[in-house]
Amino acid sequence: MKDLLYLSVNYIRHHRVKLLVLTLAITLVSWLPIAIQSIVDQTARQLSQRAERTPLVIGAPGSPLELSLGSLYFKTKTPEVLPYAEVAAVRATGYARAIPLYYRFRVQDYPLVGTSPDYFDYRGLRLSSGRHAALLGEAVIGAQVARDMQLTVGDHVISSPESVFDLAGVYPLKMPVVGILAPGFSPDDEAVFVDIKTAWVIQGLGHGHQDLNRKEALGQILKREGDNIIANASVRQFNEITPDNLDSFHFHGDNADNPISAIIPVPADKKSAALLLGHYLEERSNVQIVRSQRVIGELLDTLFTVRDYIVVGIAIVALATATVALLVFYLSLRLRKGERFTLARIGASRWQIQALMATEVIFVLLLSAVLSAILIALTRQYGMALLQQLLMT
Amino acid sequence: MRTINTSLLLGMALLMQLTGCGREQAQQQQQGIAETAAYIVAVNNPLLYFARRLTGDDIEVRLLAPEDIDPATWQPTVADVLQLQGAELVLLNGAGYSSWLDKIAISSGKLVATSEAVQDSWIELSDTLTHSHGPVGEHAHGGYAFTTWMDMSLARGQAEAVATALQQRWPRRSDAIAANLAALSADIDGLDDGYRQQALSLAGRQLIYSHPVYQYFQRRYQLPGYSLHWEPGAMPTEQQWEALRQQLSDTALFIWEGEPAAPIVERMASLGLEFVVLDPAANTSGKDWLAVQRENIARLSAANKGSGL
Repeated sequence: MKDLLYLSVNYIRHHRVKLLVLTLAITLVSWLPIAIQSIVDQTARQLSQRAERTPLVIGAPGSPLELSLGSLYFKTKTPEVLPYAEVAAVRATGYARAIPLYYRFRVQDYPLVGTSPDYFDYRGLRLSSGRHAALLGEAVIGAQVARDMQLTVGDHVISSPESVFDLAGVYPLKMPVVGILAPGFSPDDEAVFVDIKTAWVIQGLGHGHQDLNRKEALGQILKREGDNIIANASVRQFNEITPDNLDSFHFHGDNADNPISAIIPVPADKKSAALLLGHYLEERSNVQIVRSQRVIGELLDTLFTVRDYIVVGIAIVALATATVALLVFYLSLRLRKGERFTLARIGASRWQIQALMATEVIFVLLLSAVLSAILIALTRQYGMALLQQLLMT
Repeated sequence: MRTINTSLLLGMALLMQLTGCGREQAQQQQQGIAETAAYIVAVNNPLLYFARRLTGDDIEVRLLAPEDIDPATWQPTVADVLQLQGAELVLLNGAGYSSWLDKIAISSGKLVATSEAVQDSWIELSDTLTHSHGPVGEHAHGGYAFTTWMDMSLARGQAEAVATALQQRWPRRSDAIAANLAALSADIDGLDDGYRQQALSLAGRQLIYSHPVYQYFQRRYQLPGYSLHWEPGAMPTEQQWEALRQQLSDTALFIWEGEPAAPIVERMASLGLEFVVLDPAANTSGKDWLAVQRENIARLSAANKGSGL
């Protein structure tokens, strides 16, 4: 037995390159389909979870996929809008609470989400530091935003202008960071949250400026017509909301007319959800209600179809690899015919010769199995994070 | 195969971007605060009183403005806003009463606009200043008179709005709230009758109001007059006294928001000017809102009887 082991080890050592290549080929073709399936399943599970927790979304008529992706993952850049009055309309049905979302703006590459304090309760988002936004102009940021931009409570974020050429358009607003969310491993990690009214200020629907009734503003006044003061364009508008100028901020018109991107309805139970769905499908044509589970399910079906093609392809590659491996083993045995003859002449038994020949196959298969198992375990544990890191960089 | 691989990678890239990747922790929706910890915030004393009467003290009702500040001019601190965010309901007066509402983050589902149903009855202020600058165009910063509860018919409507909101939030207490509302409405109707009776006696007298907070009172009880901006604790200037003296008639009655300071009382006596305190009771003062209103009626009655208040 000791002699057999000695000969096997030396054979493997002598043919290490050939055996290593063979081992890696078998490892890869056995690991790859399982790894792909695992990552796709994990991704699908996460997508489904978010959609399951937000089964209904209400928005302006348009693409249901855009609405679902926008309201669940903040991933659409130019959302259709509906008036804020729809929030009250949802509530008035008596079937659900309503959480507004307005995700038109960004802070660098991160979506800036205008919403109400209900959103944090609804998603179960906890703070790792600071507090929730209380005043107009305050921001709460996701864990990844804080990490990437190296922000802490007390720092500031600045909303990004939509276009550098649009001088009369959306002005950047400097917002203090008052809270940082604990990592939730969700799209909320990558978002900047403000109150819905702060998003309207960014859009210019509300603003703060010098008091035109004060003496300091005399230089900015063109004329007075009765109770109307006409000021010139040099009236200083504030690009940061501070305790000192908070009182000067005001909105024009009725907030009910201001835009939002979507509404997350939160029905009390399944019956209320069904009634709400029926109400919107049958009685409302100027807004759409979307079953996000169904929309995301259709997206996942596409993914699964692609995955199935890949797995079939890899299975064919695996079959080819197995055939090549068999050929390699067969040729190897043919090449070792002289070795077997020599072993027989020096007194090795038939069993010993067969065992020595089998060592090569057993070694390759065993090592491939072990490596493949390790890779699969690592994929399940770290695959998603690594792939995300890869995609982000 | 390469095409399929590329498709898969693109598909996965999209999905990874969407999910933010990683494990999304199991998160449960918090559907509400435990009823034992629930509290309501009212923005002024009348609404505080209505809510307490209607809930029968089963649920804590808070007024965040300190006693020495008029809730109409009060501005919440960050700590106050966090309290407002934690409330089950926030009872608003409406008519632009809480100007801070647009400057804080709060869920609109908690807000109860108690005078919204009678919005047509709001009195628009005539001295609204408008201005225009930049691309925004002309806009106004004015608004409405907000002391709605001094018209007892509006006060009753506000109490009903509070009751409806409470019943929707706590449907199992609906019957008790309805019973409490009936009793409260009867009390408010009693105030209305009382003010009406006194108004009949005051008809024809010259009324001078210390502050422009009686617009709804004047309209409801047909007691027109002109308003000054005098504070009961601050001695008016000589020019102000002189301007007042020139306006006075023999039937003049000065209506104060609160008890005037002794030097002011003396000065009024020297002018032969009778006055009466008609406290809107916007904030708490150790007495409940109903008691203060009954005292108002009692003082008007005394004034009408010429007892010299």
